Amino acid sequence: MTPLRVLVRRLLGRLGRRRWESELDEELRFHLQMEIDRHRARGLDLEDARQAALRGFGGVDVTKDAYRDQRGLPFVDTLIQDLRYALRLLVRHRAFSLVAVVTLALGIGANTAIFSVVHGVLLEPLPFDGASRIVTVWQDFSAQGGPEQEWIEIPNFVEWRGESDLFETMVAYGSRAANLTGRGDPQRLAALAVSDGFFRTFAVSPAVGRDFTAADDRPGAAPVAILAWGLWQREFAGDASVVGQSIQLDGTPVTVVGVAPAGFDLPGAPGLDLFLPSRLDPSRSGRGNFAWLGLARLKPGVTVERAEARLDAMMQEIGARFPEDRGVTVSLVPMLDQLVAPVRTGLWVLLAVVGLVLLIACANIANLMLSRGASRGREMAVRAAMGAGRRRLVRQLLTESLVLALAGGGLGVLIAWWGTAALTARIPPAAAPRIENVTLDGTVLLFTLGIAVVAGLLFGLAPVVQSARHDAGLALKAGGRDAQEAGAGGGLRAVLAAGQIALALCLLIAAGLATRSFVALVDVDPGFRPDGLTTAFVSMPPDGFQGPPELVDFMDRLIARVAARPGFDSVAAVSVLPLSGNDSDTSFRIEGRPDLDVPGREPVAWFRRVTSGYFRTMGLPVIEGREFTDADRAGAPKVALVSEVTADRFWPGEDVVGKRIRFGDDEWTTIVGVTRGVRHAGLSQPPRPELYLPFAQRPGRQMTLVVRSSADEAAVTSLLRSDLHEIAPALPLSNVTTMKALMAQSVAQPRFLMSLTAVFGALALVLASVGIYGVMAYAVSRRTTEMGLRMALGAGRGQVLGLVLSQGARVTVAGLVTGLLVAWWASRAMDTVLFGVGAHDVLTFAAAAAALAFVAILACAIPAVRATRIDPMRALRAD
Amino acid sequence: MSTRHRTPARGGRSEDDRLALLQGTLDLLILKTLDVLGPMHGWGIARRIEQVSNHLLYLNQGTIYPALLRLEQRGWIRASWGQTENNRRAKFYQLTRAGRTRLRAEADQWAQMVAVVSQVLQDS
Repeated sequence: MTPLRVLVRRLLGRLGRRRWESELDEELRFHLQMEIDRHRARGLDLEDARQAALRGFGGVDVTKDAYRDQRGLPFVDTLIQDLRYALRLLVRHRAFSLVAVVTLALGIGANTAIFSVVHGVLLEPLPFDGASRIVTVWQDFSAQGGPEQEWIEIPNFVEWRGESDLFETMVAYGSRAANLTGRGDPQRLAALAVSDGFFRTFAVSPAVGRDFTAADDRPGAAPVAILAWGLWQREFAGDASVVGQSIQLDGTPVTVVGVAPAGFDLPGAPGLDLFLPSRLDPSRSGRGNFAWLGLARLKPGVTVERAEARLDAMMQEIGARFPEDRGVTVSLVPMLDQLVAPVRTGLWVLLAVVGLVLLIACANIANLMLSRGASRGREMAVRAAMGAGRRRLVRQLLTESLVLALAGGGLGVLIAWWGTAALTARIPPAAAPRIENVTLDGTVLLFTLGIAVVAGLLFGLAPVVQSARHDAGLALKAGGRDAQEAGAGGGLRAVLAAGQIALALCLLIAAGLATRSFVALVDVDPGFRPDGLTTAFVSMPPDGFQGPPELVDFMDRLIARVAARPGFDSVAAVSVLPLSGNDSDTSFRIEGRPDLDVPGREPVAWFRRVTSGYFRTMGLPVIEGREFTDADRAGAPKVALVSEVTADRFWPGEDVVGKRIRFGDDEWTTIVGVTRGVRHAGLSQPPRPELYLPFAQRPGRQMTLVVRSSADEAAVTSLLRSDLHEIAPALPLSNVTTMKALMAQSVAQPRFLMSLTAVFGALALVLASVGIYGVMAYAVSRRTTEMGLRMALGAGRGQVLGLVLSQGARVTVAGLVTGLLVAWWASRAMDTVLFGVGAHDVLTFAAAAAALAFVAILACAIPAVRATRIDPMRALRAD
Repeated sequence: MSTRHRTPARGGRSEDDRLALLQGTLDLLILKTLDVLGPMHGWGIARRIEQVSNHLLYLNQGTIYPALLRLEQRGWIRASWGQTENNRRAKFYQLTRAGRTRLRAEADQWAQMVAVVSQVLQDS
């Protein structure tokens, strides 16, 4: 048929109402007039004729009503009627509405804000075509007891890359740094060395110029570069003619061949300045050298499992030829998963936490609605008696709840808008990948609408359930207040209050665990004294620093010059700074342990090149033997220091000082001292085996200066800069920061989790205590007469107090027990984000329960004390 | 097709033995009446149905107005204001082409229904 046309006409029917109403009047008047005329023609007098006409017509108003129903959309009409009524009611009960809307807005706003983060960080795909097919490539050494995600070896990579029916591209890449000179002040650029196919992996191509070719990537090819959009805009003002020109990188001319598209970033590594060909050389980056990261783009339809199975089979064959790769498998992890892995659990925990807060808020509002139900019960009974259908009444109640919920949702979006901005500003990018991707977009707003509706239905159900238990006749017969007695609101309210306590307890426990975890973390000894340390990175390219003598000489002069500054307590340099996120390891041989000289079994330690003052400057204690001195130079016997962990692992129970180790075919190196361990990879990570080598004997090109000074960071930095400029005008100083800042960054994520769970825990505590207060105050108000009677009969105040408190205690205990059980079951989910405290930490559980019990009893005590002040005579007369 | 007839508050029972209108048949009667009479106003339609049915049908005349509107909304009839023979302004309804088609279909359906129901009643 034509339902659409009917719908349109009926919708239009709502318009021009005055006109069709008057036309209908005229039509009906005509009809009646004709009937009257007819009856009069049959001989009736005017009055009888009119009566007869009306009788035959069958009710003018009924007809008009039916006509109106047909004219408009009855459903829309009722809805509008319900909405009008709901709004009128909400305006009349301003205080109730305000409390409800604000509570909901807080709950919904918090949920929206956290969901916007979850959505932007965890759920939204990476901004590339076919992003789900981009995978990171790792070598899995877990079968050898090694790491699950090891960087890739180029000889293996070269073999995998050939599997062209699995991969569209497979590329190796690694971050590099390059000094850009010849354009004003020297600049340190963040570069990425990439093998052929890097841009195709992300399905992008350069905005200007061309992509790298396979020829660019060969060892010994002419050096070329692709600029990142940002550098191109900043340094070259977006001038396309820069393509084809050459720029000076580390003193070498490099031809710019293209510009990467605007907004292109390696996910997880924002702020890149340029891209260079990897020019991979398997003869120089061989087996045992884990210097590259791997990425691949799977062919459409190829699953991770299938690709892994094929590569694993290849590795088995490779392992047969190269024992050090025996048992090694390949792990392919979708890039998004890899990127967000560190924050995934924390974010889901937070979403669960705010979800609980919203549930508690709903329970509170349900309770408020129930107490209002005292007067509503009578209203509902009257309306039911007047013929309103049950469905209509339920619809009316739900409409009211939904209006409240949507108002709360609307306000919640505003809160979320502010909250999201505050959240993203507070999370350092290092602590949360993709945080810049967080916005309140359509999906998030849809989520908000969804939770608002669900919340509205949730707390809207309470009065519906209550009204269902109402017997209309009973309610009408009884007075307003006793109408309540007939209902079963009290029990429902107690259940809601107990539920609130249970949920709030879960939140408090989560907050407690996060707090204890954070406290344990900041309390941890990093192994050195971080305060007063300023650090800055400097890179010494082959141009100007040809070999070890030049490097050592330069570093000597720089340190001597800086150390001469008054106010600088000490200064040193290190190749990899603790907590900087960088590290490198090396294998070595131990004198007298030929059994370990087997590929795959060699001792491995994380090594740092340090200048002689490093241990003193860092406040890193040397607990045995001696530290490096200026005498440990080229030509002198090679020496090293090891950390406690290294000593325990490779020389258990022995005196390490004097032992000798060897790197490759180098001469024997004597261990001259043992240091404390350093939490290099993060405060939550235990110290790993470390090895220190003197820079003067084994210099490197990338060093971080460490200055201990009581002066502030800015002053230290400017002095460092001017010293460096005088000695080597072409070298930029970069990554200037303080050890304190690195420490803070390393705990930023746990701090974030802690502060948010603490805020929400506190909110839950307040909401739950308001909830139980409401229940108890209500219970007392209902029992006023009974209390009065008891006191009139001689009950003491203490007895009355006990009566009320015991009722509150029952609700509280029920809630606490439920909450403890739920939290015990659920807290395991937090295991991976906790540090130094178990997910079932008894102290946290007990403290949270005690705190909640205290607040709950306090909330009961106020109405209880009020109950004891009841004047018996007044209470008895009240009815 | 939805048919909504409100039962008038007053009565709904006739004093005599007239038949109550079966649900859904009013539309058919109106369409047929308009088919026979040509353009006609509401009162005329009601009178015609009463007369033709020999006053055996009990019709609340008012109910034909929502029915007329319903038929108009479906596009089966159209309405226009005009003059009666004795110069009164009235709203005249007439069948549309779709209405004529509809009438045939409903009439057939009705005939089938009657046949089936009678069959069943005879058999049992």
